[in-house]
Amino acid sequence: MRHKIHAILRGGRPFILQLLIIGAIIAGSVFVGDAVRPTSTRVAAQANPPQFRLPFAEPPGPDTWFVSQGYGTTVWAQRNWPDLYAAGQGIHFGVDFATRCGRNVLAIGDGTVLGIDGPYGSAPHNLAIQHANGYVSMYGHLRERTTLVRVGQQVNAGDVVAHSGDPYSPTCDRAPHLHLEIRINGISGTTNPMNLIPADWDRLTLGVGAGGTNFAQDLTNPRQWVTLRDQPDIHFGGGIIVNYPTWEPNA
Amino acid sequence: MRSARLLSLIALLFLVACSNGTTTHTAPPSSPPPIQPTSIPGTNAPLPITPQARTAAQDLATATPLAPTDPPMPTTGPTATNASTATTQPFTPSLTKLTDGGCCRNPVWHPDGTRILYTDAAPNQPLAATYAVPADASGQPAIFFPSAATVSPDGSRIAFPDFANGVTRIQEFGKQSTATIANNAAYVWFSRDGRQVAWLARAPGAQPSSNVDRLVRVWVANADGSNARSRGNTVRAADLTWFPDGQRLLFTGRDADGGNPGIYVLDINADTLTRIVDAFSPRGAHLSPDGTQIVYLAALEEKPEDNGLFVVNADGSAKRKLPLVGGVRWSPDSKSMLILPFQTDNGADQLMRIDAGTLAMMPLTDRATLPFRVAQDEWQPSPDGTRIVFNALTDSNIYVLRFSS
Repeated sequence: MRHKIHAILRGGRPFILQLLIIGAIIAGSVFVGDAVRPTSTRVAAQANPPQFRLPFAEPPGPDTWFVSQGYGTTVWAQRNWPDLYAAGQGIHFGVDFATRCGRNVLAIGDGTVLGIDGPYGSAPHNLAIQHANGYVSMYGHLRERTTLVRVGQQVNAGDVVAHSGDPYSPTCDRAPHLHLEIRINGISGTTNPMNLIPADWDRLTLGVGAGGTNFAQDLTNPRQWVTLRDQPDIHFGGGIIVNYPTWEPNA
Repeated sequence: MRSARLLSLIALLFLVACSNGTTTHTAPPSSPPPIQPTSIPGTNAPLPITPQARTAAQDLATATPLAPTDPPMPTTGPTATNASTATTQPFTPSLTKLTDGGCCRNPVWHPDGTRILYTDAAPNQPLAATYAVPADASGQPAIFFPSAATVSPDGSRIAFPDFANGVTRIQEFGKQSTATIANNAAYVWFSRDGRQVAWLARAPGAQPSSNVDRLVRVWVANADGSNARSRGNTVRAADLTWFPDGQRLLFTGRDADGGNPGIYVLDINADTLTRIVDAFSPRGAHLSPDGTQIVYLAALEEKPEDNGLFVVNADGSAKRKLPLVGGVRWSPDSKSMLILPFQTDNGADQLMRIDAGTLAMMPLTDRATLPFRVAQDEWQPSPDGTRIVFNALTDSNIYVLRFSS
């Protein structure tokens, strides 16, 4: 494995891509730190999704949490992917829930803790849970390295597993939110959580702004990927899929 | 361990293959042909008339229902029904379906109030066009302009991107000349009279996180392309709204360092920037058409009473809290707001009116007799204030809801 990693580091790819590839190798090969090998396969992850739920106990609202960015080709991702989402083919490969720091984050399904602060990004802290049939939920931008669960522990949907944080500010005064991903194909790809978690997602967009919940319309294919649910799966390190002409406010 | 290593090697090969440009999307042509704005609105031959209003409510009522397991929705404020303080008005609202095939998103009114504009694929051209469909369903959709475009609020001009040349072009209806804005084909916001445009140009600087807008500089120019200049210091923002006076711009944003979130007003003549609302996470700010008031959502404030929809004067004074939260828009007369409230069940949307002076609410539709669902908060009041156009969640088509005569 050491030789593989050296080869990748010499390969001339962007650093973030190197990290992702190395992370995939590590996660797929050995126990490293607080992580165990994911059990999924490409075929299994495409079928029979487990029963998922929202990651909060409280109902949505301006006092509690709301969706600040959906999954996919959001207008927000269109204008920021070179800085933030190049590793994920240029789309926002999770769902952002704006909420104040310290809110209890719940496991979205039954499963086993796969990793704590593993190679999943979403600084400063993250947590991954292995679910049935190859699905992995990943909770990012957590406030602290969680001590509420340990690697290998069985958890049930609704268990408190972490606390939300802010990726921009340790004092939680800039952009506090939870980034939730559902990974597939081992941990090498993601799929749209809005297709797997029952919620009235469109109603959750009422009044909270446009850039994160509207989608950058591809003028070469204007009916594709413009709704909350019709969004592509991605694989990390794949080609950018949002290099298309679009005419959105500030896209 | 050997099998694990074999698996990791396969994963590595897969990732390497993917990183070498494999994509699920066809890349756009590197040099799309220049757009020829020769098709002036209204010149397309009318197509056969197919009234569709009669089937609209039925279409929405029979569309796919929501998942029965959906969780309850926000509890902030009373429910729409409970909050009602006035009786339903006597007018019987109606739905008119304008499109078929799940074609459309972000429908907007043409300023004349007779047509709905939206962007969709066009035959025999590489990029999408702007379509118009009569708001009363008296005709089929037809190409309004051979490019994605935005029409000025007064209806005098149209702006569209020229990606090949990296500019935005502006055409005045009825004239042959076309102005050019050298702005990397960025989207532009027209002033109310159509005589000026504004846009946001990315400024150098790292993007620290999602949920924080990128660093930009505000630019303005005359619609004929003259007098282009940047205004103010760099800020973090994503959208602009012109005041009716054509001298001020409103936006929600932060300072360059990512702090001081709020609602700002930029005076383009004095070149001054004023934060009129100090809020932790302001969302969805809308300026009243007369430019005197702003409605916005405040969220994640420490004190619960500071969260919710608020109306303030355009200088930030006289802050008042609305009794509901939801998607909100101003009526054209600036005397009231229209709102699609969050509901505490999974039923249909309900359109309500809130008086901007008294904050009294009036339901404009009945959820049982006229069910509809709006997708992604994509809706807009008509210029005359009697209708809204929306993108329907249930079938992704465009509908007009008339709620007043």
